[in-house]
Amino acid sequence: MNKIVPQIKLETYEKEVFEIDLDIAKKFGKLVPVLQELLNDDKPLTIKTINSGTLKKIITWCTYHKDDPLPPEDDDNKMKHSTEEVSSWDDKFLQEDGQAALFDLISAAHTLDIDGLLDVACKVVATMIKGKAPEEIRKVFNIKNDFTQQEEDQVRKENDWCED
Amino acid sequence: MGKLLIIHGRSPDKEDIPLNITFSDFIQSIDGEINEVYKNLPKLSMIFKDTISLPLLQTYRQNHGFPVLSGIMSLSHEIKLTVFSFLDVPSTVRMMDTCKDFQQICKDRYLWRRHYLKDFGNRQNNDLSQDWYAIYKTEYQLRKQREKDRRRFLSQMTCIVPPVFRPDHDPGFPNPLPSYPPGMIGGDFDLFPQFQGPGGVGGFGGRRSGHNPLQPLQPRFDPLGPLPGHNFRPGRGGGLRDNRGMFGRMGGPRFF
Repeated sequence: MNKIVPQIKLETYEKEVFEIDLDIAKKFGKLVPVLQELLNDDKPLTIKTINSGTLKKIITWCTYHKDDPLPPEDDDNKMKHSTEEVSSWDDKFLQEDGQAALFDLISAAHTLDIDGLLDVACKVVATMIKGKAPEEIRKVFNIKNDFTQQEEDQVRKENDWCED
Repeated sequence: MGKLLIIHGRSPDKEDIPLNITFSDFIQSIDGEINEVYKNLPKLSMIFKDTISLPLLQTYRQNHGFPVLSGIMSLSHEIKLTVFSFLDVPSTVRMMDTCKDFQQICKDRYLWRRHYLKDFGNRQNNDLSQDWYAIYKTEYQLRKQREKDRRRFLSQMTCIVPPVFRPDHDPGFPNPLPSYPPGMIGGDFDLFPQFQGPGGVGGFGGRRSGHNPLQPLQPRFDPLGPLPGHNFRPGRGGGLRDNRGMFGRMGGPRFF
C-alpha cells in the first residue's frame, strides 16, 4: 500500500516546480516556520535566487544525509564539529559539477538556511584555498588582483609575520 | 584519436585563458549514428562554462563596475567569512594578499578572536571591539621571539645532572634511604654529615645528628619567620632580640 507522503512545492528561477517530501523540507531552516502553510497551500513557493540544478543537488544532498544526527548546539561541540573532515561522498558530490555550481550551492544553502550543507561546502572551498600561494589562489578562483604593484609589496611585507 | 582542441578565452586587460579539450574525451565514434557521436556532453558544457565563459563574464562585469554574479566573489560577505573561518592562520594571511576585498574581510575581528582563543587560550580582556587581528599578530610575534630565545638559551646551556648517590657518605651512619629529599639532616643530600655546629657536640642546639645513629632523620630546621613568643626586631639588621640585655645575651632564648 502506498503511503501518501506529505510534500511541499517549490518553484525555482526557471519556473520549474519541485515537489519535496516534508522530511527533506524540514532540513531547510528558512522554511520551517511556514511548512504547515505550504502543506495546505497548493500554490508553490517561488524562490527566484535558486536555479533548478542547484535545488536538485540540494534535495539529493538532504536525502543522502536524511538520517544524520542534528548538529551540536553548544559551542564546544560546534568547535569540534567544525574541524571534522569532509566525507569522501560529500567531497565528490560537491565538486563534481565544477566551481560555479559549488558557489551557487553555497549561496542557496545560505538562503534556505541549511547549516550542514553550508558548513560542508565552505569546508570544501577552504580546502581548495589551503596551502596555496596568493597567486595560485587568484588563479583557482579567478580573483582579480586590484592592488597596484606598490600596494602589493606593502601588503606582502605587512603579512610576512606568519611565514617561517 | 589523441587530438587536442585548444580554446582561448580573451579579454583586453587579462592574459588569455587557455582550455585544452581532448577529442577522445567527448567523441566516441564518427562513423555511427548522429546521436552516438558525442559523449559526456554535460561535462564538456561544465568545463567550458567554468573555464571560459564565467571568468570572461566576470572580468567584463568587474571592468564595468557591476557586481560579480558567479564564483567566490559573488558570495555575500557573511558566507565569505564562513568559508574563511575554516582556514588556518597562514592560509588566512595569504588570502589577504590576493585582493583588496579579501584583505578587508580577512581582518575580521571575530575571525581573529576565535584564532586567538584557540591558539593562545583565554584572555583577560575579551572585548569584541578591539582589533583582534593586531592582538593576535603581536602575541604571535612575541611567542615566536620567546621560543627563539629559549632555543638559543638551551643550546648554550650545559646539562647539570643532580647528584643521586654519594658514595662518600658518613660510614658511621646507616645507609640513607635513597628517597630522602634534599634538606634532610643526615639524608642523601646532607653535604656535611659531620658538621656539629659552632659549639661542638650539641653546642648549636644539638640538633645535628650526623654522628648519632640512634637519632632519627629529621628535616632541616629553618623556619620562615620568628616563632610565636620570640621577640622580633623589625628592619634591616634586626632579628631576635635578647631581652636579658647586654650581659645575659648568651643565655637568651636559643633559636637553633
